[in-house]
Amino acid sequence: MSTQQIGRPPGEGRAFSASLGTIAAGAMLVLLGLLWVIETLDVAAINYGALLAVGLVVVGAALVAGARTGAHAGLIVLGLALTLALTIATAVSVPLHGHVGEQHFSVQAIEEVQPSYSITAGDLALDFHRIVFPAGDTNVEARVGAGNLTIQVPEDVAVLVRYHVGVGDATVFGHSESGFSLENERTTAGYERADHRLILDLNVGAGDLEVKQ
Amino acid sequence: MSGWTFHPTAIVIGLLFMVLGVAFLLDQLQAIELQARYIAPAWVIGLGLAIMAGSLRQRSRES
Repeated sequence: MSTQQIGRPPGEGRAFSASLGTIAAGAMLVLLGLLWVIETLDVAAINYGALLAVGLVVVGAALVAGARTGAHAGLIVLGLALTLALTIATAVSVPLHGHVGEQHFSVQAIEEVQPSYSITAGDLALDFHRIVFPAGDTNVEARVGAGNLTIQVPEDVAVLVRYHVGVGDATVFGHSESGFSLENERTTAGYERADHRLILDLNVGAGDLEVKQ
Repeated sequence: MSGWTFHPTAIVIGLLFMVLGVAFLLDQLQAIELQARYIAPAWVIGLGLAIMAGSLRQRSRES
């Protein structure tokens, strides 16, 4: 049995084949740029992980739809790159939502403390050292996809730090560790009996974490 | 018989991308908890299917 291609002039399918991957890659870059602008303008926070996953579905659908015009090596390479990025993000628990870039919060009053801080990539610095924390537990969560997370806490509060670092370094109250999938919790002296307690849940996908008092 | 030639490798890999994409999306939306140890076997299966599909197409063209 032989297969033959009819109904198209020679080379037409190949031209379409070559352009499909380029069009898909270009469209994704345009979409990424638009979303970046939306986030820069503080219109909405983007979940880049979900965006990459949708991109992978679109690439897969384009491959199936274009299967009769070629193998589309460019699309396969694009899909492999997306899969690799998502696999790494899943393996090291990289949170891919929030801003991109440097964020520094020098908090002056307890009312300004947010329950959650999150960036996708860059450096996040939280300076709480001027805060007088109220009696009871205050919970703060901070996530960085790729980059550094630095937190300064005041002397007069007992602190529990629960952290996960996918890959990188963690230095919490002077105790340092390096490597993959670092997961630990540390407290300041007298935490169990303290009235004023700060509980930090911290997650860094790839990068360095530092908590100092 | 249709006059179109299909590339089975593209179909297999495309379907695999779609399945993985949906799985990653559900993981990102915290509907499921995907673990990397499940992704590697999926790739080995997909690679095997793609190689078989490519081989079948090659045989089809030769005969």
